[in-house]
Amino acid sequence: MLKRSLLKTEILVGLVIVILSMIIGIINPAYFTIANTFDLLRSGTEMGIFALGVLIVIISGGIDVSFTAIAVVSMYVTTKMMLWMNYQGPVILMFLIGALIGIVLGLFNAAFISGSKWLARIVTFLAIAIIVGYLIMQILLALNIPLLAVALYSISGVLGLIPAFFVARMVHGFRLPTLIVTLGTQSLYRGFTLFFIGPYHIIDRDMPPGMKEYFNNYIVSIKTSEGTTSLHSAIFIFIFLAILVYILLKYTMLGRGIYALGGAPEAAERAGFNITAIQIFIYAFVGFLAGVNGIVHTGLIQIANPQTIVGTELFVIAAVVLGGASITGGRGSVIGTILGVALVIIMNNSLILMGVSSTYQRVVVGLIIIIGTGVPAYQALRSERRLKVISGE
Amino acid sequence: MAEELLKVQNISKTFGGVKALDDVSITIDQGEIHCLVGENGSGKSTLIKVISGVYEPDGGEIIIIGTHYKRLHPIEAIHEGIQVIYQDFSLFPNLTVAENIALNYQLAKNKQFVNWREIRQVAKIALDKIKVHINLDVRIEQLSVADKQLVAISRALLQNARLIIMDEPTTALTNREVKSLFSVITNLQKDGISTLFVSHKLNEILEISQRTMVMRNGKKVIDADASEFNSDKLVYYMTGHQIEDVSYKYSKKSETSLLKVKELTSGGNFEQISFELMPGEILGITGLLGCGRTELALALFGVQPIDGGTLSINGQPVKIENIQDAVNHGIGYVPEDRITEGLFLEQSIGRNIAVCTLRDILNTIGFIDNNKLDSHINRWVKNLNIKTPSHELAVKTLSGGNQQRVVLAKWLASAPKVLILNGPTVGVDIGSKSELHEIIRNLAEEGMGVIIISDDIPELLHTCNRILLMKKGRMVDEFQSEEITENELAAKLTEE
Repeated sequence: MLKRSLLKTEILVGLVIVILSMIIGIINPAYFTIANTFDLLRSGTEMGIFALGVLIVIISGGIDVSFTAIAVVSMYVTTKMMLWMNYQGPVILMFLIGALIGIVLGLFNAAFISGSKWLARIVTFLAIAIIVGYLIMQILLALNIPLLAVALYSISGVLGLIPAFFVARMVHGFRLPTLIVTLGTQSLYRGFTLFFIGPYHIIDRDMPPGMKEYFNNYIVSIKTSEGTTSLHSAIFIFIFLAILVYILLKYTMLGRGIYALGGAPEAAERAGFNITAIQIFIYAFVGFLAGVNGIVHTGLIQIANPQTIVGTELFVIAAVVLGGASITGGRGSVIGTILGVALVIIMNNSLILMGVSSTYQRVVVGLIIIIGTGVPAYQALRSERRLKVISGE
Repeated sequence: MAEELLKVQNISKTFGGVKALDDVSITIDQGEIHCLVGENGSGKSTLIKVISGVYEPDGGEIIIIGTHYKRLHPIEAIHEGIQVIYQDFSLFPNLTVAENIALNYQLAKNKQFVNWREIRQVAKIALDKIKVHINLDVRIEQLSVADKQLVAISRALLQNARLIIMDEPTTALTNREVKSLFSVITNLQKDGISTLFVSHKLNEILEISQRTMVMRNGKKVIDADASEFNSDKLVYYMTGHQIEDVSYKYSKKSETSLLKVKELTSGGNFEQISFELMPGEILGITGLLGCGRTELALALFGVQPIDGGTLSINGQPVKIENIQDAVNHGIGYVPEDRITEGLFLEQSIGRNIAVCTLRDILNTIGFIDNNKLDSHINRWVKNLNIKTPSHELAVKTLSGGNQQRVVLAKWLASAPKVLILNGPTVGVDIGSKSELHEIIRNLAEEGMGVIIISDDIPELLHTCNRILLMKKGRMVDEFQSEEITENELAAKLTEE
């Protein structure tokens, strides 16, 4: 029954994709060209990697809206760092640093969500040390006491660390609502990047050489009447991650723990799942995917603009929910998610092909979310009623 | 003679000065079906939690097949094969039957990867063990309560259960489902697995039990072979026999009835209810849960809409369509669940008492007169003997009995003519209970009409002068308290 009903969602979304493609193809034959197909695949790569992370969070009964901001930090900070270092090597180092930034920011989210004592203590410690240290430095500067810079920094630093140490010891872990935390951190990560790292985009010719090479890392290039069209190798990254997540969710106890957590958190705890560890993993993994995706984005778009990406969360969440993931947790699949992403990408790209103004895209996505969540809710209601009739209520 | 599986010796447990368990002992043999019986608050759940390791007892010992435990940890209880099936089952609604059964087992074996074929096999074996057939690939949320319970039982068996404790397992089951649950329990017995069956349904206990232990007020009343019991005896042991006080003597104070209810009907809840309440009367309304007694009380208080029938107060026909109407006509209602419906838990005792009568303590310009407020509150704290160091403390700091007095004070302050009390002493300890009864009797003697809705039989006989019996939304019988015994009323209450 589970398989049948899951299959049903997937078949339904698949059918919609086929029908929609045919309609668009009839209206505008450009839809079926190789150039457009490659274009769809490129957009799908980026949204798909995000969607894998969102899928895991949603199955666990949470939500993450900070992943776009994590991607921005990863993309922009890594690129800037490479430029400062005047790095000449291959792009792989950028992926590693991007992934690391993503994991750290994901752990920062987890510190507020998972209830982990140690993550919460570390975050509290750092926050208090930085804020108190900064204030003391400002006071010392205002007092105009003649001090060497070294002395100034070390006095402020030590005076900041002491209260941080004592306050952090009293923290026993936070369990805050996931939406609130990630809304906050989204703003925090993005604001931090724009304020401290800079608001200006880095164009393709200013990129580190490794990244420049990566721009043209194509699997195939085909000459058409309108020029060369190519498929970027980043799609392999998506395919690899999709298989990884599929195995994780279906064949590991950790994955089943994520489903269990989303279905009945208390029962999961009583059964012996370490809920805190599972949640730390989830948010760190989402951060990892977003971090990698920040670099993928740079490679595909050939520009590092800290003003982009944030704002596309809704499209990704819509795609995952359309693919059959239950927004209340406990249900969702990788295959459904891929189909959901395909549908949203086709909608987004093809509305333009059909001559619909891009401002209407948001209206369409809004409708998709309402229908996509409304239909399963209605089905659940109906099957519940049927159950009551069967058991003779 | 079967071997002893579990021996609980002289266990005591105190919560904030209240003895929840007082020197309780119980022995369960291998393959025995043991029933644990008692009213609410008798200590049944505390005992279960001690046996499963959730609570640490203050004194006594637990012996499981020769191993002595002063303090049993939950994980030790599981390793010793003690499994509790709680009323919420702890299942995952989004996962399949197979996975729900096998998941805990796989976790306990510290598996990192999932072998789906093995999960199905394990689940199938577990279900076969209790001889039931449930589709392994159905999600739990699509199952009936009875099937969920069977899944929970087979999951418990996978953990090598030797004793399965079922906490009120039949509450949400139909008669047929109860029968099949009983056959499962009997099958377990054949495999040498013991069951501790916690219930307060007499007929079920008499049917399934081999040994029965009755608890009251945290103490063991009796623990004996099932053949020693019959329905009357169980009621006697459960409720106790300390009803030496005579029932309330009602003396006629007036010819006109205070409240007259005629053919009151509320579709699906109750039908054609008629009765009269005289000044000075304490009228009991009883019946099983779901018989419409609470709905009737709510209808009199203007909460439950009515479809037909008439109400008169002091001979005058009145319409009560909302709570405001009821209060204006002098009807007060003390709800069943005082925590959620009757009190502002975080607010002070004083504010809770004064909330219904703020109009009377205003000064000339319409603000609250603090002197009046204080004397008003102090009067009621004293009148109802609410035990607190200060009326400025939050209500939640009080015990159940004292909280109930605050609810009473709140309504009494507004001087109602008719006071409806729904389950006035649920969760209230014995001492406070009789004091509350005393207060209620005094109120009636002063001319108030009181309606008590309860299924606490001794309470009804003790406090009321007349008792009405409801069944399936209809008034089926009426008794004078002096003319019926506790056992007779209990029998009338439960008979089909």
